[in-house]
Amino acid sequence: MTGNPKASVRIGALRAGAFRAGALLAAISLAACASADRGDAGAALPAQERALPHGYVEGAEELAEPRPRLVIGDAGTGAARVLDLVTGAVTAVAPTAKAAGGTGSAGGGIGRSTGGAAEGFHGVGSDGRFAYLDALGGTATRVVDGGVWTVDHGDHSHYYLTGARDIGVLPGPRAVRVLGDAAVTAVSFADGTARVLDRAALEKGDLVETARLDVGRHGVVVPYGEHLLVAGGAAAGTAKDGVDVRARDGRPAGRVGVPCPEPLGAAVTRRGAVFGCADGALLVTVKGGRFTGEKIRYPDEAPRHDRAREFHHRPGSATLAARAGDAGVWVLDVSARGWTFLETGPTLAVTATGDGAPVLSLSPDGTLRAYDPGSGEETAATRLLAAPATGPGTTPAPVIQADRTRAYVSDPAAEVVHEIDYNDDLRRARTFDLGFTPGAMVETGW
Amino acid sequence: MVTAPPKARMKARVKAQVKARVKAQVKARMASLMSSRSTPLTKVPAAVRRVSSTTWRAASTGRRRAASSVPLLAAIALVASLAVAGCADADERRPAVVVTTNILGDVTRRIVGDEAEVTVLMKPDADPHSFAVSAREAAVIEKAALVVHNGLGLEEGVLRNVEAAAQSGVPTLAVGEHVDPIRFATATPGDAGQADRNGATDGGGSASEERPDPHFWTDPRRMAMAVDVIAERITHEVDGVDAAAVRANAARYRAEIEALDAWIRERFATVPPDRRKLVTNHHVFGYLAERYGFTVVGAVIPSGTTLASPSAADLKTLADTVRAAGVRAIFADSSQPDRLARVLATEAGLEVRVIPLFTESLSERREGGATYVAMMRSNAEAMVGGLTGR
Repeated sequence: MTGNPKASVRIGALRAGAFRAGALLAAISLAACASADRGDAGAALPAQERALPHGYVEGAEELAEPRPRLVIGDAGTGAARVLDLVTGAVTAVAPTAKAAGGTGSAGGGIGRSTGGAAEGFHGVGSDGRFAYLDALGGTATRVVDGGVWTVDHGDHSHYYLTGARDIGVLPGPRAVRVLGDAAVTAVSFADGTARVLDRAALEKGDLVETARLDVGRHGVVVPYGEHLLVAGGAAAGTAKDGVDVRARDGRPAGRVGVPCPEPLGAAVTRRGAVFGCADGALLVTVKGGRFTGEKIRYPDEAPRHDRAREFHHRPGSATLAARAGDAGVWVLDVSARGWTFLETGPTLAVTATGDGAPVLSLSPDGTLRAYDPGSGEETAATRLLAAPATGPGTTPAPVIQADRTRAYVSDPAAEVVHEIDYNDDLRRARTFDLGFTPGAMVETGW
Repeated sequence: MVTAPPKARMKARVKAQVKARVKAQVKARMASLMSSRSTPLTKVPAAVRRVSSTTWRAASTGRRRAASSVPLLAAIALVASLAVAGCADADERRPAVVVTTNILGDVTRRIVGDEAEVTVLMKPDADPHSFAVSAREAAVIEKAALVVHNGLGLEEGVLRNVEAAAQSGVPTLAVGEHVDPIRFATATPGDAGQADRNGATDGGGSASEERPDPHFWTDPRRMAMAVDVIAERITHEVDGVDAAAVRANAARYRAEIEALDAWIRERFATVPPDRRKLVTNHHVFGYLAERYGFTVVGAVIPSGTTLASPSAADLKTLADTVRAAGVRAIFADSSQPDRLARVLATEAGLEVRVIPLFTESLSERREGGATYVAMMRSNAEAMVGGLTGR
């Protein structure tokens, strides 16, 4: 800054004039200058008003590569903890002053992510930086800043690191889905309401809603294309079929006319936003501000399995996995516009790791299995969990999270998290000792 | 004060009062000096006059000159009076050139010299793609005599501000557009981040081949062109600058960059042509490669979690790339360069060095990257060292 030499000139002047009255005189005139300089085009700007990168937080550091962290709920005490996957350190999440003083946060425990009955609850999700965990026995959602995030610039990405912290608690009966973009994050609850949170405010440590929507039991809200896509939501006065396009504050902005009966489940991929419908999936894409819908129907010749109700995948990836009741797993290849059914039988958890990469499922006997998403064949299996699942609600359900190179599987009975190299026959790369029973588990830093 | 005036007016009034008081004191002090000392002080008023009608930088030289030739007490008085004069000048601003990136900031400062203020928006060690400006800085841009930016899509965070300034009549210069930009050769999987380990992408980003590559500074010859373009625009757009002085500065700096180009050429000549391959996860060396006959080989660099417990499969893509290129060094950002080199040796049987380079920002943190010329020399030296195995 050109201001710096000037500042040093003044300091120099102060030193030169450091003789009795002279010093005082100089000091007075210096003070006058400092205020006169404000707003001068050539002047130095105060440090706190200097350029701030996207998602800047005091003390954030740019990194050469991703820095994934797992935010994990302690099923025993209800505390949130962070497992840094590069350092291996487990740390308690310090509540911010705001979070500590916030409503309902006193003693706010993170509830168990119960298996079986709680279809698709993964305790519950992330927008890349913030983890949203079931709290207070499913009556609220705790929001934790994982302190790691990625800014995507299309041809390359930037990675940032800062301290993890507790942002506060969102009231609402059991969150079921979290989907976010650069500006907002939509948290959908089991009662059909959705809260849309302002991302910039979250970065400052504030929970600020830009919109609250009631979409009914069959209703889905997806931030996509700088808008909110709302499927279903008859209760909110939207048409029964098709998808509403709304501004981020909830105001109507348009419509996609392709029907999506009984919408349940959604995901955002690089190929577009995906809604689960009774007859298949609805892919919504945007080009030049225009939203278009395309239906990907369930295969006609397939046996009558349960429909997909909630999608799981590596963030951004265009291959999705969803449980089909206890029969198996649906795999949706968004790029190829096709479904594949995997005959897995009942599963505790499932996810897709990427396009052409293995789909992972965890059997009730504690075996992790890898499937080729194209052929549907099992390619690897490994006995992973310390104890088989004994029944819904007894212990927290295991959770699978996946990133570009590794998957993480929580093992509540053993109080550990397994790191799995899914491209190497499900090799167990590392095992992290937690010292507590993991409940909800969400990966951040993407 | 009788009534409570608005804050701003009160501030102005206080300032005026302080100023007046100081001025009066200085005057009195000067008068007493004049009458009581026999030392000739003819130089002092001249210096003061000069200062009051010009700038702070001039003020400092004026003061230095004066201080050495007048007695101590006079110097004290002078210092104070100069400070006051400087304040008066804050209102009649010098023409300001605002530059977005710190690389162009360094270049522009060398061209402008003492002829105008140069404000650089991007801090050292920051990221040109994502840095943004405060409201105050946005105001600075709108008041600028000229805004110099890289263009070609580099500064996404401030593009809006630059466009707004242009619309309100501020002259702007997108330097990259004037230096014969090249297109991104291919989307390199290494820096894409979107690429899977197996090289597959999630799709959507196939348009990168169509986009111009904004990182022209890695070619010094293009930077020399940029110097001419910037100098030309400054002499045309910025009132009150001495055009001859700016042209002289530019010529001097251009010669420095031409010498840099010659030096780099000489250094690269020591690398056998079949070894001029940059295996890298950086996406900025397309221009350098074109200028000096290098090939950029995009690479995915395994990250921290992968390096913690890697398998041969984790390193296969990179190892295959390195083997195919037949190089002894990779140029990469890695949080654990030593660990990466070690696992490449143990898991893939490859002996390679992992060398960092300066890419998109001048650096205060790392030595050798404080100026454009220093950054280019550091990079060239690192490349030669890595590729020749010295």
